[in-house]
Amino acid sequence: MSTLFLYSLSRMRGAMAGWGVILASMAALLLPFYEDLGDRRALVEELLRAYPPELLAFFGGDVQEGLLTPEGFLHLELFSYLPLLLGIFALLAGSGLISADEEQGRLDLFLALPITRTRFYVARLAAMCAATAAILILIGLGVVVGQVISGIPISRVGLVAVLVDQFSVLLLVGCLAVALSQVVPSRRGAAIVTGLIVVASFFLNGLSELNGSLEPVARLLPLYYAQGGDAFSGLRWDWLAGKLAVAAALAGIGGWRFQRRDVRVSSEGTWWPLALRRRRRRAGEAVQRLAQG
Amino acid sequence: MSVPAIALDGVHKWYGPVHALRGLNLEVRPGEIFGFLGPNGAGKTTTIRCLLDLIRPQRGTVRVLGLDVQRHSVEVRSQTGYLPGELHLDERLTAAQHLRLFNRVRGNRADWRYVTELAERLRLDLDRPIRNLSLGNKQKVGLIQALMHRPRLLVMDEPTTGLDPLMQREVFALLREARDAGATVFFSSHIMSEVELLAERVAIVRQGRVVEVAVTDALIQRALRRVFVRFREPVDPRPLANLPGVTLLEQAETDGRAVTLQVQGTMDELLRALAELPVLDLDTERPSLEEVFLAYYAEEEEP
Repeated sequence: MSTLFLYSLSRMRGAMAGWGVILASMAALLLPFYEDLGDRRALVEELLRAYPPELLAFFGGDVQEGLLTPEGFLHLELFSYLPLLLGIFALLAGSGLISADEEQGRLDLFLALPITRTRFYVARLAAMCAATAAILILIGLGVVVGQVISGIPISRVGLVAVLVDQFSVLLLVGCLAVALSQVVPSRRGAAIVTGLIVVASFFLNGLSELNGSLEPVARLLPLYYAQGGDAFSGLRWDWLAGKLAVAAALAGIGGWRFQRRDVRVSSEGTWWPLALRRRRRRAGEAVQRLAQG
Repeated sequence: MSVPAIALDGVHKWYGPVHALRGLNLEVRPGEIFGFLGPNGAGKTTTIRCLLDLIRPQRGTVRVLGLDVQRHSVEVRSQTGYLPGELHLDERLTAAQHLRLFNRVRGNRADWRYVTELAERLRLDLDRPIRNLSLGNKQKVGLIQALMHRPRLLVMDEPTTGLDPLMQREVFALLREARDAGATVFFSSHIMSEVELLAERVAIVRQGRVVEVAVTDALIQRALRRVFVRFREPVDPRPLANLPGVTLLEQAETDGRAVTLQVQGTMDELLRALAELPVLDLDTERPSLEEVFLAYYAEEEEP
């Protein structure tokens, strides 16, 4: 299984490098920029206070107070929207975990090797988790580099808590995409549905700050449980456990479905939901009986 | 009695409303080269993918090397080499990297010297990236990955796709060597000549059912050929048409100097009769598999 894990991880190295290096570079610049703001920080805060609350709400939490602290600045400029940004990576990685190889016709060869589908699936899933973790570690290192350059004290434990929170949200998104990819007919379909859920969650989360009646709906979606920079002051363990449990359940559903379904090849689509498939099959049999007289 | 290498019993497979396999029965003996013939869409690939547990039939049983493929899929696959009909490899790897990857997943069972020997025989440069390989060379990578661990069973879907005639001959030699070493070879094809050259027995699949299992020679006896004959001078073709198994299809309107005949079975009688005629030129054309089906089953349908 380690062979397949390392192979799967190596196939994600481009995405890891791309997302990780760009976001880490950005993260490394944030604290020095915060330091450079110096006395102008009060002016920026005043400017932000002039922003419409509808806009500020999308950055989450106490934005106006947030700027007073380096942690709040990191939340505002990075961690508040990181789940949306890295959500793209997570949903692409998740939806393509099995389906990409399947649609490109490579899965047949792998599943003809003496390895169970469960082990294959777990190896792939582990690679996705490791790639997500690697990107976040790079971002964390970027923040640390920025901290060293600027000399601004940041709680390393707090930073780890933020990264753990981000990881759990991305894992949730990734596992949702994996599960959907095993149910809907194409990778693209799974990615679109997951993307819509993530975007809807981001906006509903922001809007629910303004309109409390939207909160029950926002609660049903994944990004509601993203703490962002708030995790500097401590992880919400109940949320973390919930996110991990739901991610595990979704991964389990994906694995269960992968175990039982046919591997598709081009022109041999087998997606029809079971009930519909049975109905169509019976109809086909009836037509054949009629044809045979 | 030895356990069949492959045994399918009453296998049904539906894709939605499409009934791809309709109670397919098949038995392949251990140590034989078995051809699985059929036109496109007959169910060859579906059957092969059932053997590897890539797809699961809704009804019937599939046993490979004496094992139920769904219950013992890993054991079956560890003793099987598989070449899919539509081969897709990881384009980012070289041929060697791809083969090493598969070998590691197979528990390093392959002897790398054997891999290089296979590559030399198939004239494949293992160090070239897959993305730079032609269709035929990619097929060679697929063939090597199927053969390299010396499996007890080789399952190959159209193994000579994309190969030139020389390489096709080399592949046939490799498959015969595998058979001589004790392996069973099960391959699908829609090319009659390929099956004739290689297979000891064949099954013909049509519309999801095996309609014939025969020793290859017996199938050839039944096969039709079209024979075009040109004569130096006009001849009466009726004596030719009266020969057993010979039918006059067409007589050129010109002056009776050319005829098209259809021959079922051996050519002996026809060649003997033609030897006494002023033959200028003779050309034979093997019919398509579909035509063999039509001819063979037309007899059954006749009242």
